[in-house]
Amino acid sequence: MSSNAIEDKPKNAAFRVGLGDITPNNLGQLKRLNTVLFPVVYAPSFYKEVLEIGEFAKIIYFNDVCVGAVCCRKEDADGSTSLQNLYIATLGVLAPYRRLGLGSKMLMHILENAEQTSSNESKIAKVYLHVQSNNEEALEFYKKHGFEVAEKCENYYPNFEVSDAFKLEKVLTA
Amino acid sequence: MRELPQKEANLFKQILRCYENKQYKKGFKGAEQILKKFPEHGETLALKGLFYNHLDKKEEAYEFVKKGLRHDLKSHVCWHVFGLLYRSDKNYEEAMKCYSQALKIDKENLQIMRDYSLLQIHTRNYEAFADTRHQLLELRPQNRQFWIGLAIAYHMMGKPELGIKVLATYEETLKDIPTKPDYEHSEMLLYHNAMLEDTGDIQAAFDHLSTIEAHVCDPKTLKEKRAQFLLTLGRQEEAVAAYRTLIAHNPDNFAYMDGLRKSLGLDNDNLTCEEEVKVLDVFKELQKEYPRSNAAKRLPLRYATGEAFVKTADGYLRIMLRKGVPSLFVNIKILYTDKEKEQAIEKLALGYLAALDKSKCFDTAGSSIEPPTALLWTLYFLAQHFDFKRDTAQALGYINRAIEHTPTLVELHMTKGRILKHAGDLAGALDSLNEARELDLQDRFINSKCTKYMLRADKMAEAEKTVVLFARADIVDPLNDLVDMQAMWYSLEAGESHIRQGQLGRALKRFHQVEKHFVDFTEDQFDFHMYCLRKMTLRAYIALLKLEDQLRSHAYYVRATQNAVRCYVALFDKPNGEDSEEMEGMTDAEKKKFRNKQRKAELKAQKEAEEKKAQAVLEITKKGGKVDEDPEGLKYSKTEDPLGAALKFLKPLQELAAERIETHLMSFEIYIRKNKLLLALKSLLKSIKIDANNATLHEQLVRFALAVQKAGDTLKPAVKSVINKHWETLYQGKDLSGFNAQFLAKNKDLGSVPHLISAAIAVSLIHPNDKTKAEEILFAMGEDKYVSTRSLENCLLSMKTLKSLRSNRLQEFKTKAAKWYPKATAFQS
Amino acid sequence: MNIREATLEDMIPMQNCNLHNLPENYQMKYYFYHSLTWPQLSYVAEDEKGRVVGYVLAKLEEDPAAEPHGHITSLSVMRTYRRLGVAEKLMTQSQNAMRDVFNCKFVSLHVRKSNRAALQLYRDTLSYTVQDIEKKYYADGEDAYACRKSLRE
Repeated sequence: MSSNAIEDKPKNAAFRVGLGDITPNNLGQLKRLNTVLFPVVYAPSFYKEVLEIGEFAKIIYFNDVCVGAVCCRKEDADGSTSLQNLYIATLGVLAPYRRLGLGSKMLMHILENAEQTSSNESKIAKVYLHVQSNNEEALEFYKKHGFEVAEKCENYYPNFEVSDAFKLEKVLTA
Repeated sequence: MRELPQKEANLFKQILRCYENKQYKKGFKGAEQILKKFPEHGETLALKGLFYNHLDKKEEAYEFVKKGLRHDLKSHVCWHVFGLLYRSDKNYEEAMKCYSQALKIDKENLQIMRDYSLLQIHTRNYEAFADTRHQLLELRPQNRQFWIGLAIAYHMMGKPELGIKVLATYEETLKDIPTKPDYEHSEMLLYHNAMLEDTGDIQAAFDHLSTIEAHVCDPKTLKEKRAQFLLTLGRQEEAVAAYRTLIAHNPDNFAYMDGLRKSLGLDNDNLTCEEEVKVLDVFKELQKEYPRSNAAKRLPLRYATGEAFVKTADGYLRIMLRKGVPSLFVNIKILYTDKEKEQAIEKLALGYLAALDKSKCFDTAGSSIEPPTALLWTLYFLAQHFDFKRDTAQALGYINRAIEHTPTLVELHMTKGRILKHAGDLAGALDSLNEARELDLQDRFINSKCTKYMLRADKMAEAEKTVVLFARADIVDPLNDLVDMQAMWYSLEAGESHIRQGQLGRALKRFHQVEKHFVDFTEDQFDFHMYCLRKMTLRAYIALLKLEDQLRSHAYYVRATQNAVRCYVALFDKPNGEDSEEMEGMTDAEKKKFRNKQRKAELKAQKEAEEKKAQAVLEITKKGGKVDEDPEGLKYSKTEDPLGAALKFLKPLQELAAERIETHLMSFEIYIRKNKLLLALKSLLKSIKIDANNATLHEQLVRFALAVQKAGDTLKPAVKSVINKHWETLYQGKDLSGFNAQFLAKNKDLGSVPHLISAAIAVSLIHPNDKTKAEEILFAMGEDKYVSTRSLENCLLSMKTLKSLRSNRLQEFKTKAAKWYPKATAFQS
Repeated sequence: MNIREATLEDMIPMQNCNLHNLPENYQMKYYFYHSLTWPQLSYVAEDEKGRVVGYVLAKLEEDPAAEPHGHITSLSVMRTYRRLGVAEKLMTQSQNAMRDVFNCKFVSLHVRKSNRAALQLYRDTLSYTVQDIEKKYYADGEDAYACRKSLRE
């Protein structure tokens, strides 16, 4: 999925970046972002889950303007009742705001929170996602953050010209 | 019989105390107990009436108070009670008569005197107020409030020197002046100083200020007054220092910076080059000293010209665009009255855009790379700039680019809506506002704006649904709560929408709501007459009295009045229902058909609404809310005397806003219909004095002449002679055709569409059978010189005029107008 | 943006600003009451045309049991006038007046629990601290954060 996060801060330009919760009141902004960033239309159930998942869905602000978002969902890990996997469904930043470290900031937030699940929650075993097979930049981005290619999924995006995808995952050590 | 036996006399004292302590039910029972034994005891009967009043039984209240009075006409208690009853019904005239009667019986009753004085100040009867206050002071010279009350009386009578004497005398009687500053004492001293200032003797006020300094606990006011007096007294150097101190406390205050500039002797309307440099240097210095001050950055733009302006504006714009300040454009557009400044700003902003597109910098020198938001805010700024110039195509181009850049920013969609509104596409505008609203559902501001756009598009149901989204969960009837909370903006917008839909009763209901709020604002002051004297916030109190006296010149009242008069006049002209805008220009037969269709639809809607309403009523009453008995506003639309009602609405403006031509234009519309030609004449003469070349006035002059002609010999000779006396002033010796030709000739180079409309209407009235002339005049607006007044609003007005003429050239006009305003739905066929 | 002490004439525009921006509304008499009791404590921000675009409505909390302290009744800045630090400037002036005129030792205010943006402003920008959560403080049953800031120098 679209994300670029090579640290390349412009000289002299001071700016503020901050993460914010997704609430029923600003859900419209997330919907807007997703319409622009991804060629997929998300179902209402997707947004319902987003509102319930807490730290695993965030909006990112650049100089107080909402410019990107990350949304995950939890899945039960195979063959375990006490372990879960975290799937990054979307992570994206509006085009003019890429290469400013915003994607990294969001991903790091997700990884940190995945490692620190509290005692009453199930532990997260791994974080994973899919990337279109030709998206070099995204592949590099996730690899830099410790993700590895787990498998190639043929025809994962049947409606796209490049339909193959890589499944990337990061196993959490804990 | 007045004297009661001991037991009942004690009981009577008790019920008096009950009244003071607001224990009305208990007092009522006590009164009944006395009356059981002495059913004709006047004072008890009267008090029983007063208790009834507080228990919401008006009829019984008056019945018993009057009965009490009949049994004991010589009791000051009965008269006082009668006065209180009238006062609670805001019948101040009658209340004052009662108090006066009571005081004749009991000359030195402090309580009654005090109550009397409240009404006197409330009704602005200053002489009488001063008298009463004087008596109070003589009776109780040790009471601070009585001294202050008398001082205020003199002050309000325009005799501050007497007020000062009273205060000074009182201050001398004070034995122990509080050693530590005491707020009430401090406020009194500052009031003393304010009165001194009002006498115009600034030296005296200045001297007084230093004597009270140690006892005043409001350091800011002390410093402000000192600086202001120093400046007036020409002690410039000291004034400079004083203003610098103030600026240090609040570097965002325009008045302080103005004060500093004036103290430095830089106070000309037209600064010389040298002075301009000096002013700019002063602000540069202030910017360095107070880097967070917006005022220090913004104010120099007022004074800089030429090259210096470009340089100053360049610096300012860059800071604001980098920071992403949404109000940047709104904040500087006032400079656009100077065309040179407008062009300079446009050039700068276009330059930034080109450079940002190329190299992410504000200039090609490429000194620093800007954050991506800089491009966003530059596009936003340019969109607003071109919208201001009504260059819709460019404005939309920039705003669409901005939205493509960052589609999540609420402000962009709001501005797009604004551009579309200006272009005449109300539905498109509403869509944009709704998009903005959906991006941030927690912000009531965008919700309010969106509601406003819904009302502009006459989507009442949607507006009602949207505006209540912010009602608190505990509110039973949120729409009514808006009225309770005095949301005048909503009443006005809703009312105007009702007018457009031909629902005059509903519209009038809204405008009367606004009027009611103003009545309440006036009533609100009543409790403060006593309160402020106690709290000693006397300067604020004087400000309250002055504010209340001209409250109805407020823009909201003026707007409500203009609309209400419009409705009432329409009701008078067409008692069977005002045409909605879609009916304009239809033949009578078409209208009839249209009305029938409308009526059927209405009946159906009414039935549905009634069912819904029954449901709602059930719900509201269940929760304890009020039910609207007259949602249609029939009380207003079915009035017997619409012109009288209109006049009542207008009256305050005739007194308070006599300097506004609109007041007299409205007056004319009422008087001419009432056939009061002399009053109509008076309105015309007043309008002429304000602006003899006003467009609407011209049309009214022609209508007046025709009315006089029509009246012919039925005019009384006395009336005729007054009119004749002024005829020359009105028409400069011309016949009506000549008069209209002269008006056209005079405004030939003005390029004003409103003047064309007025002349067209005039000519159609003079020659009712020949519309070609009127059409010709109107179509002149296609000439280049009319471009600046060919606003959307004026085009709509022109179209309305053509419709009312039943012009055959309507389509032709629409085609033209659609070229000027391609997005405007009104001109699309 | 011009920041100045509010006058009585500002009360109608202040009410208008409040009605546009906030769910907590008051009748005019309540505005009058503030201005006629503590005329020094309320401030407005006005734009170049003299239109009120932001305000702080403040009072003295008259609780004889506690130290003298001020209370912010309502604060609001029109959305389109944000990012100029207006709210902060209004609050600073009002707080100074509380201290200078009425010798206030601290200032208190309430924030709706759901209003994260406001909490952020008070806590992060204006350095208020949350003292307490007042259950069902608002008429509609919502809880409030009770916040406070010391005015001692």
